[in-house]
Parts: sequence; structure tokens; C-alpha cells
Amino acid sequence: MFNISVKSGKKKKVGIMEFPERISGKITKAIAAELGDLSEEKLAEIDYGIAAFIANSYKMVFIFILAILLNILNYFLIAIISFGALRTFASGVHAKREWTCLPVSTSIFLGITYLGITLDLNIHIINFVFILCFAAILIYAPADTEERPLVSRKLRKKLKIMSCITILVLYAIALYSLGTKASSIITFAVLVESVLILPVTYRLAGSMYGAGMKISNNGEV
Amino acid sequence: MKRFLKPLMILISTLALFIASTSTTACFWWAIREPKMPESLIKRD
Repeated sequence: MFNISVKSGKKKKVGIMEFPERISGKITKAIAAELGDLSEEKLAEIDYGIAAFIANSYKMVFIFILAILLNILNYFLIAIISFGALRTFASGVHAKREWTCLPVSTSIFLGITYLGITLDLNIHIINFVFILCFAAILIYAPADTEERPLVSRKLRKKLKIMSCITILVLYAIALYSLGTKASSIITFAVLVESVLILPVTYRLAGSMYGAGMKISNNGEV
Repeated sequence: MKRFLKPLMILISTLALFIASTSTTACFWWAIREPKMPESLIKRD
């Protein structure tokens, strides 16, 4: 691998390199050989871009195929768009290892969909869930990780505002579609994403909450 | 084959750099795992 990724002590401690990083390393080596004039920094960025794409795209394809086979694609799309819209800004805990990621991602996305299909939530429950989730977003978003710390205060503030706007938009959509399955699915998606930004979830997943904040306060990570 | 290799590598690099740079401002990877971001991509004030 390249200097920047090898430099990290934590990566060495993990020992086993996950397969997206192995593949991306090989592709980046081929790119480096073909386009000789790229700096180590640029190569590390290319390596990261490829690894991020591989690590996530095959899972999404797998889960989409599963949703098609289970004949729940429409509901699944509502779940993934609601969850993803909030997660884009609020972020949240990520799995540490590749082998835990696929079952966890599948359970989360399909779980939200099936819960929404099965349980019809009334307006009181929806209001209660959204108030709790809004409070969680207000206090804990954006929740970064050691792998992708949000160091910039300006960026963190911007993401918090965007997270609050997103949850309000989702609340409006849930109320507008009250009495339908979409309303319940959106509520469960927001609930799950809000749980994923809580410090207690980070502790359970063995991750560190607020890595970027610690870096910007010159603390040790 | 070699004639197409360089443009293909440029294309892959461009897409990879685009993915890497967009990942610095928001969490676009919704599935539950993300690789370690290089120091050069971490935004600071």
C-alpha cells in the first residue's frame, strides 16, 4: 500500500487488510505505473476513492437485488432514500470490519422496510419518535468516525444545520403521507439513523465518537 | 490494448478523486463501513 495508509498505526494494529483496500491498492499501483507523474498524496486519494466505491457499491447492489427478489423494492426505496438523506449530513457509526458490514447493512435496510410495512404508526407515535430523533440530531450530529473525522468547525456546523433541515423535511413528508406504509417506513428510517449517531452506539460498536472534535481541540485521537 | 489503458487509468483516477473529494464534506457512503480517509482529504478551518 501507499505511504499514507501504511503510516497509520491503527491500520497496522488491525493487521488484516480488507478486500476493498487490497483491490484498490492493486488498481492504484497499476495507475501509478501507467501515469507515473502522480504524487503520493494524489495516489492515496485515488486509493481511498476506489476503496470507498468498492466497499459500498457491491453491498448496495446485493441489497437492491434482495429487495427486488423479496418484492419490496418500492418500500425499500423509501427506506433507503429517507435513511440516506439523513445519513449524508448526520453521518453515524460505521462497521469496523468488512465481514460484519454486509449482514449489518442488509439487516438495517431490510429491517426498516419490513418494520414500516408491518407496523402502522399513529400520529402520536410519529410525533414522539421525531421529537426524540430531532433532539438526538441537535445534540450529536454530525457524528464522525476515526476513519473520516470532521475536523473543521464550519463544516460540522453546516452539517448540523443540514441534518436538522433534513429531519424536518422527513417529518413533513411522514405527516403528509400519514396512514400509509411510507409514513411508518420514514419514521423507522429516521429512528435507526438517529440511534446510529448516539455515543452509546459508538461504544457498543467499539468506535470513537467525536474524533474530529478531538483533533480540532488538539486532543489525542 | 495498451492504447486504451492510459485513458482508462485517467478515467478511473478522475472518478476516484471525485468520490474522494465529495466524501470530505458529507457521508455519501450509507452502507455501514468506510475505509480510512487520507490526511490530505481531511478539511480543516
